[in-house]
Amino acid sequence: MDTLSIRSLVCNAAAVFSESYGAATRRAEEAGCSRQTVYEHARRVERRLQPPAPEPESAATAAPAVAATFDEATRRRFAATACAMGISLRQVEDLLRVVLGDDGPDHSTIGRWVKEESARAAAVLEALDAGCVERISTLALDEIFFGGGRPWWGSSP
Amino acid sequence: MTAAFCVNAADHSAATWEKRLEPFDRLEFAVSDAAKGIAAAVSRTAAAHAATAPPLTHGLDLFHTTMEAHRVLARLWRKAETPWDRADELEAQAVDLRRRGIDSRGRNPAVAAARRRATAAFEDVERQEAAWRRIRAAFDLFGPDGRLNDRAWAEAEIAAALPELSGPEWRKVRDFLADRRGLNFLDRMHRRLEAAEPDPRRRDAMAWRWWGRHGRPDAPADPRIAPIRAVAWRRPLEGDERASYDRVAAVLRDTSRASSAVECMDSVLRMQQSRHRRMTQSMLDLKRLYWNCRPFRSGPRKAACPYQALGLPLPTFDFWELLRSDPDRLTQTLSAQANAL
Repeated sequence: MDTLSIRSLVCNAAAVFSESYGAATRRAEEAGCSRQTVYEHARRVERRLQPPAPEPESAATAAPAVAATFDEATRRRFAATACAMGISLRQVEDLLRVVLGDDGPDHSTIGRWVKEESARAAAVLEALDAGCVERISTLALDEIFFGGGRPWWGSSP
Repeated sequence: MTAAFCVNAADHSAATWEKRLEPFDRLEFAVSDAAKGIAAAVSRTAAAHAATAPPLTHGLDLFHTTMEAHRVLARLWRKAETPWDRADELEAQAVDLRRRGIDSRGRNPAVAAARRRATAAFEDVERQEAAWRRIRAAFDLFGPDGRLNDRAWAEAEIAAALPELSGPEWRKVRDFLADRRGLNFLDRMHRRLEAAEPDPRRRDAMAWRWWGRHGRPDAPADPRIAPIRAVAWRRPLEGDERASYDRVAAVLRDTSRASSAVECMDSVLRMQQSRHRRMTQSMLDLKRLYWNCRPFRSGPRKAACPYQALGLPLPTFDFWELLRSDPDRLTQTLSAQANAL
């Protein structure tokens, strides 16, 4: 428990930090305490004035926590988005294993997810296309050869 | 820029195309390359919709004309470099002989002749490139003076420049240019502008203002013109003038000459083609939904996705959320919005 005022504490510390010869001794005599106490007060003041140490990384940003939030829904989303962008199943498998290690799904699982999401896309597009038709007054048409079949395009500029 | 449909079809016949175009009863303009199946389908659809829908016009995609012209020019430039390299080589040999103290005057005529051939080859390609640039300028919405381009002016410019592109390598470009559908976008633009602003003087003035604000006009030769232009182009408009300008600007913004949108999608599919053995219909659907929900990173539509740009009133434009949403509920939402309009 502190028995000295803040003013005495700061004065004691100032005497130590001034580094002039005999200052700590003179100050101890004036304050009626030992030289050891004067030095202790200087350390306390110094600790108080130092900037706070950086907080340790929270558990939320640590790598294991990221892996923990990479649940199956997120993995599905990652796989479907990557395949929609044009990345192959094997590449998606490799990328997921970078994050998840051996816990990552294999390409057959990813292929099944993508197939399921693609089926959903077809149903959603059926609804959206009906809404688009009445808004389209200009169409750019093109065909592109992929081997067996010929996908062809209509795009509203 | 919305991918409206994408089908892995067994053929590309007119009947197949016609079936896909059938639902688009508000279609006014279709732009494509010179594919005969598409042309026939557009023609049949236009005839079928004639009684109930706005007239449908078919425009030739200028992207392919431009690409073909660039390909020819690149080949011509490569060809023109050969005599230039030969002239350099002969000249270097002559210089080397002189350096060694050997009389090289006998080689001078050969060097001069090679240089003449090289210069002639360069000038020939330059002439052809200038002719192509003149033709390319005829595809713009405005002439160099800021007046609205029209079919008469564009055809005159093309006819004036075409004799320079007489070589066999230009045959394909000449065929494209001879197709009247190439300038159909200009006819349509004028029709829509007349509907947007019936007063011809005001229409031209508003179009000129748009050209000044959105085109890249050259600095005027007479410096006194600059402040006049600044006032005409930057002065805030109010009331009728403002409304007239907005209508004219909407038409000019929405005038399409090339199917660059569909070429963007082609590049996405080719990326897929390089990594996958097959392209299934379900994969095409997934890609179409993803790219229709992906916001543009730059340009006038920055931060909006194609569905937003089209004005589709969706509860979300997020690809994943849309994929998880109930199709029946989406249909109801879109139907309710359509009825409210």
